[in-house]
Amino acid sequence: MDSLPAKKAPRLPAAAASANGDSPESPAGSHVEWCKQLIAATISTQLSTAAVPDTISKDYRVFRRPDLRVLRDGNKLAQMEEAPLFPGEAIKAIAKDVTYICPFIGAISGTLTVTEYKLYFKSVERDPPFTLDVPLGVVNRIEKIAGIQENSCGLEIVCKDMRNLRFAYKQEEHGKLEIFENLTQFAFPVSKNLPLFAVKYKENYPVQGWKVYDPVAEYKRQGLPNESWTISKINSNYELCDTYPSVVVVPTSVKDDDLCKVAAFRTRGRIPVLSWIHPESQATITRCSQPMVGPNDKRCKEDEKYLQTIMDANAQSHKLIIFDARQSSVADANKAKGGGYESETAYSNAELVFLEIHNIHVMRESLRKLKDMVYPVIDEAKWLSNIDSTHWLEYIRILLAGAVRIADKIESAKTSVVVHCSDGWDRTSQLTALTMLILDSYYRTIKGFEVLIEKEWLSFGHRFAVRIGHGDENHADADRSPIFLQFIDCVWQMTKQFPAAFEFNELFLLTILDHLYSCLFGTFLYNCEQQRVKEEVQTKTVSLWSYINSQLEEFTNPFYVNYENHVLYPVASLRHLELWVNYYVRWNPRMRPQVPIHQNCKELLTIRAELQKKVEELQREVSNMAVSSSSERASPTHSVSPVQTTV
Amino acid sequence: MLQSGSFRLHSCGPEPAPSSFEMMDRVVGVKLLPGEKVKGEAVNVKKCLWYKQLRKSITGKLLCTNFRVAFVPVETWIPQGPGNGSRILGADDVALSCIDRVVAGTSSRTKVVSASSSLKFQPQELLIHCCDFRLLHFQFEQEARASEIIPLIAQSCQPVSPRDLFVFQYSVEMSNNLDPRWMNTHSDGELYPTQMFETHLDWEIELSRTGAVGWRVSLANERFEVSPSLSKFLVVPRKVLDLDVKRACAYFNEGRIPRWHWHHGGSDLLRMSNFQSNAYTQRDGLSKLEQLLFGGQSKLVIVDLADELPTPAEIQLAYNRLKHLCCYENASPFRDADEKWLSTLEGTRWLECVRLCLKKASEVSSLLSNQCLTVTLQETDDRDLACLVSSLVQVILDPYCRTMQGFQSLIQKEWVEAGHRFSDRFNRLRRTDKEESAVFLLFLDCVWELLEHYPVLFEFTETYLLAIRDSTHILLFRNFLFNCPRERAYAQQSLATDVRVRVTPYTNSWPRSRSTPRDEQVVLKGGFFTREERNCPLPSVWDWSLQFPLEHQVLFRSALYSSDAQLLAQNGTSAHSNTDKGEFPLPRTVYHLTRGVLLVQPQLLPWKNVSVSKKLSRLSQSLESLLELEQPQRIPLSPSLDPASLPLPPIPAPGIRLWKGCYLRWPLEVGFEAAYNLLTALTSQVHWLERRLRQEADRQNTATNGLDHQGNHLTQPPSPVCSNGSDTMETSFTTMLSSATL
Repeated sequence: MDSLPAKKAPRLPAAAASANGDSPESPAGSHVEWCKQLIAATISTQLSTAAVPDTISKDYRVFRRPDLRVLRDGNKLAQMEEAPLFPGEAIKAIAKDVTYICPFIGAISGTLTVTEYKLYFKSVERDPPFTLDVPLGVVNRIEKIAGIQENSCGLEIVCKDMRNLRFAYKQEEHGKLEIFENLTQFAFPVSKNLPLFAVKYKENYPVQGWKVYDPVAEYKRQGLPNESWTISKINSNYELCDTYPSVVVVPTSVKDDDLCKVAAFRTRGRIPVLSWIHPESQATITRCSQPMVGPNDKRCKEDEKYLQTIMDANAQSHKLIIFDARQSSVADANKAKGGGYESETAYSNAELVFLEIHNIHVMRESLRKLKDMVYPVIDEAKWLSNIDSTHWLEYIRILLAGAVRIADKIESAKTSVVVHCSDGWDRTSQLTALTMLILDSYYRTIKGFEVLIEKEWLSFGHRFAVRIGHGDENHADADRSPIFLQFIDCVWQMTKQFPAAFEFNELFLLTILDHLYSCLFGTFLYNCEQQRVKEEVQTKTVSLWSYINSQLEEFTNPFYVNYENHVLYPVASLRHLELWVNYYVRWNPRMRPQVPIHQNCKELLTIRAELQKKVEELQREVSNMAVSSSSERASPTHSVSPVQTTV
Repeated sequence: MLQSGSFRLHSCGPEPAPSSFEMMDRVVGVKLLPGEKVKGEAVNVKKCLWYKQLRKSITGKLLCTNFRVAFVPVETWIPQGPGNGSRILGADDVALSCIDRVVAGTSSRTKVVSASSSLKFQPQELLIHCCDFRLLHFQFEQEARASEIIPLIAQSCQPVSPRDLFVFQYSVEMSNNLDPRWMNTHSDGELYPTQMFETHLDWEIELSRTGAVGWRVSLANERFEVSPSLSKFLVVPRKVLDLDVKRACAYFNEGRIPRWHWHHGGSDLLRMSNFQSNAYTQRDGLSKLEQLLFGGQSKLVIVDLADELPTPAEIQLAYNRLKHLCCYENASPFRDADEKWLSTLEGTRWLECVRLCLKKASEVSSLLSNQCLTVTLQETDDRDLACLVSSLVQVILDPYCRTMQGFQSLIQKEWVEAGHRFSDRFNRLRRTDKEESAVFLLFLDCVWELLEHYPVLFEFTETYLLAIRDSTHILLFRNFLFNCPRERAYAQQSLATDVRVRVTPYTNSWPRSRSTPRDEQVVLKGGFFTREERNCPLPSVWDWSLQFPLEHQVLFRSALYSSDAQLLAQNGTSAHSNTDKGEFPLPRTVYHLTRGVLLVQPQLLPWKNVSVSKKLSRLSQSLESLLELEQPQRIPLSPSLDPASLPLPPIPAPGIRLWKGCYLRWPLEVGFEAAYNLLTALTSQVHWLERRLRQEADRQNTATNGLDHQGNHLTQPPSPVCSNGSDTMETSFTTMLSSATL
């Protein structure tokens, strides 16, 4: 009769490990439970490991390559558990016999390495070796938990990307103390007055990503300037509005003086400027911040005239719709603070619509709840209602529904729209970018989507540094909010509803989100264009698009068909929205796709290319024959390659 | 019975001449099936595209035949809904057997119309709730017509007796090949030859395919004496005599004795019903019973399916809730209730049923893989969840069951021939709702979940699963029509007699060249139907060409699937080649799988059903305490009871989704082609080009031969599947607006 220990040992491949239903998946969360784990982990470390000479870790403080070799000779295990490095990256500290308390597969003992860029944990205990590679940029908060038991020390790292990491190590070893200091130092370089790693990153990519977005070329693509709209240089030195791009499109007929007066009436000088123009109807999307109406219903003649000019630029409609993204009650409350909204009496022919989208704090809270639901333990029986209770999908729905409404006004009613919220850099960016994605197939290509982000988000001053908190240790900052994540989620929902309409795949969106936090690339650093110019981001750092555009085949959707000139209205109904499990629940090893779909898609791409080649060959052959037989002019004029099919 | 000019009742007089079929089609505007007759019609009927919002309506005529309710629009140019590609049913048709409820209404009141009830008011509207979650809504301009056709529809969908079902008339006509249009459909043959398990041979093939040794096909149940609900063919250990098989039936409910269903690696999968309560009193046959149960193994695990799984009644309850959620409100897809969509969805417990079934199947699968033991699934009557779990296990472990041929054979083996009560569970005769249960639909849903997660490992697509699902609602196929093989055999026998009787008048009235009726092949040969049963008059659902043209069948095949011959051949690791089956190894051990734990059962009989009583388990929910409690009895089997190592590991809750392509397909908002179809289109275009190339080459040859080659015009290549995009977006848009206003 076979026998085995009462509890089955999870013998799982580390990275793709899947813990099954009743395996030691700890019901973590409570502090008590965590302490228990910690104690257990430390005991197991003490039992399993011999003392490690201090000198090695000390050597490591001098982070130069030759030292690495010394170490290699010195310790075989360390050699195996050594971290791969990016060009420009250096190791700051190494600690051996650290236990990673994995919520899915239990405690694993290995080596923890901290570099300027990442935290790297590797254990050769398992086969294949278990590795954990976390960019320090994702770290939201680091907590040291000490004194639970003698000699033991715990580290809890709360991440921005929907996971928490827990490590345990023995306290008395001097080297390990440095882990915590190094972690806090390099996870929060901004707070410690250190440079972000992006400026040290020295990879060379064959493609220059900073060249992806050229505002003038983009406006030219839209058919601008034309008789009504002009590319203005008024903000070339960021004097009119410091959070706007240097290149803005404004109505031709409005004088610079008037623009300044409009700027004075709009919060932070964010005047209405053009984002997108319909190629046929000339209906436009303009974006701005709220008017500073204030409690006394102040009016601004120039602003009213300005909006009238925007309306007049579109001959197809005698109306202008102003979409205020906020809840009407909040917009009212803003009046007391000097803000407000356009009254329909002051702005004749304008119609004001509130889209009832909640503010950044609500969104942050919703994501926090969502994280609690998905990490680490999932309540299988209550999964759906738990997701419901976070309202995350409901907020996604409201956003999409808002974008659909705006797009419909442009497309069906041929009416120009003005979109704003309070400052015009959060909800406004979400809405204009989504609307443009709905209306313009160009933005559904990889290049186009990069342009969309560069334009609507980066150049128009979505405050990435503040919203994400790059390198900032103040994790409780109320200005942080997952606004951009929400936008990417909406895009993902659209890709689910129109699987063939987008040139990029899911990995593309995941990569963008990963590097939103990682601080490896300069793309998402800082709050606005002016700051980026000042910090010389383009010369000092690498663009995320350099990385992506150098290996486009990784990010291409094999099913892509160009839906040119097609307006794609996503269905903004909760029954057609889904939680993006591959993002939010991806740290759960059970959620990892067993079949490498990504690999499969790449294979499909090659198959497609082969088939396409075959089609072309056959086509040529057929036409040759048709010509040579000369009895009938039956050359195939009908294009048969669905790859180029334009719907 | 000609009352108002627009409503006619067609007398069911003598059948029209064959040539009149086409004429008939032209008159009624619907392509009728052989044997199908129009029973009544109403003109000037408006079909509403959006119920309640009344956004759009099409005027046309409503027809009721003995097979379907059809709507024929007056203006033919109106873009139709996306056709399902069916040859049998048009986009606006619904089979009578697919009608769930008929509701008549006016602006103020509504009433469910049944066959017996009479309408006490003049209805203006007709609502047809369909089993496939569709909701058809018609408005009548003249109430007189409504009050005639509505009861007719209600009556027509209530069969008076089983023999009333349209399928029998259809089959008689089909077997006589009266209509030349249908003659070729049979000869297309099956694209994916299916083992029907209606013959001895198919079981033998299955035994050798799986590599099972020590088993034989017994004919003990040839006359349905062992069990009336089982197949004629039972696979039992070679050592066990037919006499013992017959004796064993006394131990089991309905005589459903343990019998072999599948072999994997070194293990066998068996199925049986619960022990009779008085079973242990008959101790004499116990050793024979053990032989039957253990097969060639020394370890036996009995999996009690009552444990942890929902009952058929619970499944139906969940299904009804799901139907209510997805169908009855589908007319107004953007209601406020949407806000709580996920919670409401969870409240239906349908997805929970899916999850539990998949979980149980994973448990059983991990038991079977890499072990040498016999796993026996036990259920009260062995006709519902046993079918489901058994087939899921095979889908998980056996790559062959993930091909179309294998999947169809699997359904035949585990459902049709094992006596799943299709007729009762689908409530075909509408006598009582008590037995109705969507067990089979739950199975299809479970397979869809697996397909969603492992698309590369399946030969078929969602479209294929939908086609099977829809076929269950069309009563034309013998597979999903009966409660057990015996019922089918009797029906076919009497039908064969029918055909013989009815052929005579036909041959008198119009002489036919092919005068050999097929029914003559349906004879008893050596006591059981031989392979010729394939030619029996009742068609099989797996003859996909009966329903779908080949162009549509292309969509059944997944473009992502790479058929790896090696994968197909391999069914688990055959490392354990138990060649020595001669002697039963001793000692034997019986285990009992309950709540994910294996417990040693001290003896087979008297069977202590669930050693952990339900009450107890409710008290101590946690597994830990349960384990402690059972510690002395618990003996582990082998180190690897790890579902994660399965080819298709279990799907956690976040991965289990609602099958939107099925349950939400009618309120068509997201109408986009499945991405796979694009690839399929590309492939078919290459084929088209190749064909064209050949044609060109031929033409050149003929040209050089100096022959005339006119009129050899080439057809256009198949257009890509995605061409319907724009329409869909247009229509879906109006609804989007309403969502935005929320």
